[in-house]
Amino acid sequence: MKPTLILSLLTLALGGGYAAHAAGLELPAALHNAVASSSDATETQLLRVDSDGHSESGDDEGCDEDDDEGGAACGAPPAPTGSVTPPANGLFGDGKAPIVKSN
Amino acid sequence: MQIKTLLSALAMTTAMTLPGLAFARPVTLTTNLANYGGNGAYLAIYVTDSSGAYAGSLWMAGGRTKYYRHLTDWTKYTGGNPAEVAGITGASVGSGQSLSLSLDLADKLFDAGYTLHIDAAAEDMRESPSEITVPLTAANSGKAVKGRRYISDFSYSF
Repeated sequence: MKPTLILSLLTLALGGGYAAHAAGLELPAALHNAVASSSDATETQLLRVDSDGHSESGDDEGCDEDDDEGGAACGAPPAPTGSVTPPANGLFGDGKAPIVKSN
Repeated sequence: MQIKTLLSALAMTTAMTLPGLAFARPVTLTTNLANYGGNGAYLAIYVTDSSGAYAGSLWMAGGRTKYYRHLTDWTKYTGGNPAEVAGITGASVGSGQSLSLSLDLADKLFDAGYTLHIDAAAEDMRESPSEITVPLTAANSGKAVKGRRYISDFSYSF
């Protein structure tokens, strides 16, 4: 039902755009862009948006799992221990980072 | 007379210095992981106060911020903000391994209603928010607290 409705709207927009063009009328910029960008890719993106408006493509999109730096799309990784002073949260008595040992 | 003056000055400087020394104590946090058979576990070690409000983080084991959302209680408190663990981040901890942290903790945390939490998670395995919760008290020093999934036991001592 939803794809059919979207197709109908796009067809109307296209038809209206071409008619306006033929009549020598100028389209509003938004409508012009909508007509110009109608494509399968756009339709696919619309279908992938859930009811909350959030993309279902996953929040790791653009994040390379092998990228240790995280990448700009993933957010900057926290500074490793020793590189900066610990957060001033009042928990550390001497302001120094913990000394870690792991085996 | 000179000795009396000297002794008075010494007493004053001692009185001014000693309170500063008593503000923190060296504490060792030891987390022994169970043999859960998965990838390295991310651990968030943090503290809440007597009203249950987030007080701050002590350590983050695991450096990729995109996985922090699986440490759900920590994320709930901090919004997943990496700045909360800037400078106190290390590697994730493997199955069956141990993590030992030596740090100076503020005296005010002990016997004042503060609670230490540890959230744990590993790739393709279930999240374990607040798998460890232990009140920070002098009486609990040296006592092992058992975990339920990733952590075999946790203890702190000073």
